[in-house]
Amino acid sequence: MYRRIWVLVLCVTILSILAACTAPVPPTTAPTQAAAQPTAAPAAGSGKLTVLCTPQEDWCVALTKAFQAETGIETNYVRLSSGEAVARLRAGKDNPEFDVWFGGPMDGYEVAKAEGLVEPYVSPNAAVIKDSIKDKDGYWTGIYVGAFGFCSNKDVLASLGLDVPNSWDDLLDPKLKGQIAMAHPATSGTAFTAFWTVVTLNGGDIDKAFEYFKKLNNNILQYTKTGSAPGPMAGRGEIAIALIFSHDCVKFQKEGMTSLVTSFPAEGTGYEVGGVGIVKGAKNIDAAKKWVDWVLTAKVQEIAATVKSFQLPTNPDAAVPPEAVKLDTLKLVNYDFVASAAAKKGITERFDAEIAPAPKE
Amino acid sequence: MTTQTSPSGHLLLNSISKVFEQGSNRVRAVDNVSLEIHGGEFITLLGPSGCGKTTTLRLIAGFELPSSGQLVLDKRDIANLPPNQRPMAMVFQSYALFPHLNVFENVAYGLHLKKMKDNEIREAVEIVLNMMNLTGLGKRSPSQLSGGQQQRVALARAMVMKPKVLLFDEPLSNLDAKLRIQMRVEIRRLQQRLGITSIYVTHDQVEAMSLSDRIVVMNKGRIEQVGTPVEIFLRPASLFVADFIGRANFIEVTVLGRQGDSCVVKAFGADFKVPCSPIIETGKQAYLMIRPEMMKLTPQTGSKAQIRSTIYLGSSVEYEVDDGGSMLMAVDTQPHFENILSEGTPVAVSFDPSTSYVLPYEERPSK
Amino acid sequence: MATISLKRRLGEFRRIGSDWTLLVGLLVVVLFLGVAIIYPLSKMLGVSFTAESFAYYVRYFSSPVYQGIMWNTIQLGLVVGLFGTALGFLFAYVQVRVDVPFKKFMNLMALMPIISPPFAVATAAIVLFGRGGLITYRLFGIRYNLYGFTGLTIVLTLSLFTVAYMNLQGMLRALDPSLDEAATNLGASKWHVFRTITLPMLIPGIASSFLLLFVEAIADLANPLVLGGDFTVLASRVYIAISGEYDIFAGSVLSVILLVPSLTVFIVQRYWVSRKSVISVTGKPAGKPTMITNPIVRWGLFALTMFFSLLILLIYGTVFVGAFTELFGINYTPTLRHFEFVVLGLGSQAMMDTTKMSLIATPIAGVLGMLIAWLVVRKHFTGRSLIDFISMLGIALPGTVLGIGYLLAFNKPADIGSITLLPPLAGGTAIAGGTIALILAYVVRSVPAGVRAGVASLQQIDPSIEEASISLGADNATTFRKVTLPLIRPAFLTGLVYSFARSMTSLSAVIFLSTPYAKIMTAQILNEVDAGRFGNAFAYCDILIIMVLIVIGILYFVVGTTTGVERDFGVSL
Repeated sequence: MYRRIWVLVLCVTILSILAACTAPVPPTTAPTQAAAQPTAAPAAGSGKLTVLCTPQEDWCVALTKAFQAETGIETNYVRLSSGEAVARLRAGKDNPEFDVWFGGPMDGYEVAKAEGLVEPYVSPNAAVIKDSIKDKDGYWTGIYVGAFGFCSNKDVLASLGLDVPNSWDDLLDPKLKGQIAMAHPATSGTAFTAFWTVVTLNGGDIDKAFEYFKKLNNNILQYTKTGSAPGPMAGRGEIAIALIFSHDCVKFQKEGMTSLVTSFPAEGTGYEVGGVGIVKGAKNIDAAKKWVDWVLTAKVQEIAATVKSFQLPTNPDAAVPPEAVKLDTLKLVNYDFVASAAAKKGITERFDAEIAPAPKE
Repeated sequence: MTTQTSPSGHLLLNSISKVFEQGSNRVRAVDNVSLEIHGGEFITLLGPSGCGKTTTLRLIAGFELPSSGQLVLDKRDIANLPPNQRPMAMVFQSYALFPHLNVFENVAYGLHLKKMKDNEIREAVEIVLNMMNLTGLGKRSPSQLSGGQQQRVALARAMVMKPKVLLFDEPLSNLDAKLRIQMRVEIRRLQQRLGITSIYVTHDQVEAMSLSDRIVVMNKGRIEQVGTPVEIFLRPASLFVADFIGRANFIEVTVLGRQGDSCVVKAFGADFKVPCSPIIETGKQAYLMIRPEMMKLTPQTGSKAQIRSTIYLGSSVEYEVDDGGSMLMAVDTQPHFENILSEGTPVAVSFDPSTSYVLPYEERPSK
Repeated sequence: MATISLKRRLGEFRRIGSDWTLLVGLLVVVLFLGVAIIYPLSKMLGVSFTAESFAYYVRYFSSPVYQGIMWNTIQLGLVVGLFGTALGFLFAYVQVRVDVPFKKFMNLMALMPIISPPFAVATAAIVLFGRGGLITYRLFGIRYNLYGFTGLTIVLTLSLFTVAYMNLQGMLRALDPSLDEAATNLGASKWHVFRTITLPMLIPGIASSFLLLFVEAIADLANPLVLGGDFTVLASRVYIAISGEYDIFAGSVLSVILLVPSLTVFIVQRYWVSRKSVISVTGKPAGKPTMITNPIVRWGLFALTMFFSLLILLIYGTVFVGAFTELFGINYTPTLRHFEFVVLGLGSQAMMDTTKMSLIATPIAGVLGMLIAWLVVRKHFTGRSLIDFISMLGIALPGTVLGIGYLLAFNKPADIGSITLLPPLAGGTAIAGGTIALILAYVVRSVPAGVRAGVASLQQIDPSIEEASISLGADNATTFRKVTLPLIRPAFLTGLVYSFARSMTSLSAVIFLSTPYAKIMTAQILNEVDAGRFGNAFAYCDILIIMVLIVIGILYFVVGTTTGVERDFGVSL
């Protein structure tokens, strides 16, 4: 019987080594299967692409699938929030494991640019993109625009006897204690956008913004990792208000969380320009360029709406989904991406030290 | 298996010591032990627990390596030979049968390792199973056997290897009294028939005496005495040996004179000529050792000695005698209905000097 | 004196050298422990004791906020330790001493957390008992805030009490019933016997369960991330420091701060409390224990245990049903789309990668565990207890601490001068896509259970059985193969089962190590939970549980069924 143990050990070891060494059989036979699993890091220019993907996961899935189907380049992705993405690029600076970074607010790209984590590439397809939403040297190019908003559960608000919030100050109502959630600015670009919006509204006074968030902290239930994560919490009725991008709120609404309503602060709201950029030292530089060219096309930007991501496309030829936010109806703050990027590290560290872990009053 | 006519298995222990370290403590478990064991001899290491007898056996087997000293088997130094390469087989106190193998596989285990052919193995195992009265039990698993049968399997497993030396580590201590006596006889019979040098560890003096050609009495890692059972019992070299083997009365005496192997001592108000340790000199203090069986009690009115207690055991009667403050033990091995002495009876005390012994004086260890 | 000692040591080496099995075994073990535990740990400690990191210590220890976090961590450990031990004791006592129906069911529910992924309980608790929870809100109309200390305590208690349960069950079974009988015979009432005999005898077991739970609770990462609310603990701070900032100094310093209490408590548990034990867990039960007959006590305990069993059933039922539900809590339309995502969609890579790496790690951990146990119990050499201790660090170290160590040690090649001793093992650009570091981490986390099971099992086996084999001419290797291994088969199986379950469900140690080419299921579940896609998370959990069960089934079939695995499990933890 001890022989059986050895047979087992041997079998399992051999099987697993085999499984690890040979290209595994994809779970489906479809050629569009993007879940191919290269087990060895791809050699330079091996016709593979690894995407660091920051938007909603299903968008990442749809895009990588479509890209692989169209180009035949084996495409893989890891989804990380904006702050995590920069941290990960920083960690792998000497030997990057990603080729291209897709999505997430500009602030993150500006930080990455300053730290030398992305490299310039001016795509021929970037010509149609407005200058205000791309880096002139091509360190990043805008692929979508979204506005920050309040995503409320109207049932919960009703039970609290409150109206849908229309102002930043509405969020400070003591009745909302433990009823608001936002992400942690260290990991999430969404949360940082919210913070910088308040900074801008205070004429660039960071200390005043901290004062506001210190007060807001009393009403925060939890700081999540991902920017959009508070949305489903509100959708399930765990909280009243989620501070997220409005397009994410619409997405959750469309996905069945029917109690959600979107509103915007009257004082002015922030917005994001989602970008795309090539990782410095990318092993598959050609495939990465191809990706950048590709995601800037109108046809590809229209894929977003099919997975209920209702950001505004940056390519003027792309059809704007009816669910998308009408930017001209909103009062937008004058969001300075360069200044925000420069201040980002200091702010997130201070936020992490002073606000996120602080006890509620 | 036939009796070996010119027995090999001559074993020599030369100044063997073994030091164990327990933290900062250094324990000399075996202290400078030298011993010659002749081929075919049955020798017993006897002593209280912790005396080093088991360690000595494990040193011989190779499970422990000596800190110093030599171990020579048939003129070959085996002190650094790993245990599996020594031509010895051991029978363990716990039998140590392989629980996952049946009786046949247990006995055949060592033969497989010798790369013997299957049919030879089967034959050898059958022979030894028959010899051990285990015929037909080959397919049983050890847990299905009685304690006595398990012991026989353990013995068979060792015997089948035809070792030069058989080692026994208190093999009978887990058996009940009756079975123990039966197995004792069987082991002795087999050993004499096969002529294999045997080293047997026990703390049971009766077992040692009934089995051995010679007994090695050990105490605190040292050898106290080596001798035949008769020598050990009647001519103990020390108070320890005399006390450990059987019971004895020790009477402090002064040696009045020496005559050859005997000394004259005064006890119970009379002079006796008693066999005596060679190192004893006239005028020195000594102990007179009298086995209780050698005491003679005669009722005598007016004697200051009195029976303190009487315990009737059927085949013998044990008396405790108060001899003016000192207590003596006496055993009457041939009690008759009419001569059993009741408590309080005044008695005259006497003894058989030829079976008693005079030992050198030493501080008695407090018990 | 020194020369004598040196001479003896040399002699020892000579002996080890002449015994090649011991030599090879020792070499393998030392190499493994050195590379997989000592090296990463020393890297982490190295970073945490630099001039730069000193400022972090000053900052953390002077900041009232961080003092609060440290106190939160300790508080959570204490409370979970207390409740977990109490709950484990309740289940164990009912299992051994109370004659009630459905004991098998209760036992199953108590063991469920072993094979459960880290987020299952927390996620199900949110949809059941949160502000919009099915039970709290829909049924009772209460908007209960589960986030924070209370929620964490409840969820961690339910996830971790198994350790206490198995530990105490083993002890209760080993408790000699004749002690109870003796006390009753002397005129003590049942309650008096419980108070004066049973409980005092179990105190080492209770203390050791409490301490083990403390260590596990303060190391837990998954639940504070999901349910922490405003209650922040050290483990989640370590995670944010690395994943949000990639601040290795902050991460390492916080790790050291977390390491101190967990290692202290672990050492106290292992070298002090467990030595105080007056009962041998492995001893044979002598007779049948006296059962509780008082109907009030009996059915009261039954009701309480049943309540918690049903609660656990409800939680795992929710995990199961939730995976087939469109949007649990809002829209209960049955759907298979979550499974589609996990099995056929991009989720499948994580599933395949994790399973493959676990399957590789399992036999390695199993054999290593038995090897270490054998060396520790049977072989005498200098440093034996050190090897035992270091191998246990795999479980004593909080996962995040180990993770940071791996990140620091294996992301870059290990060089001495110009010679590369080790190529990078972690990260997407490392050989095999970073899978080696992950497998190593899985093995390190799994080995302790195998070692404990092996040690317990070997201690029950009379060493003279192995000596008998040697005396009959077998060498060490043959003896290990033909005698030892067959005899410790149940422990080996336990080691394998535990390794696989542990690898599949581990998060904190490997979350920093996942790469595009080696995705981890639990990290993926964290993403799904965090992003609020509970359906996908539930589907992942279901599949993970099912796969663990299938592999356990196969292991039982191949290695052989055995009784006593549960007992060994108890010992192993």
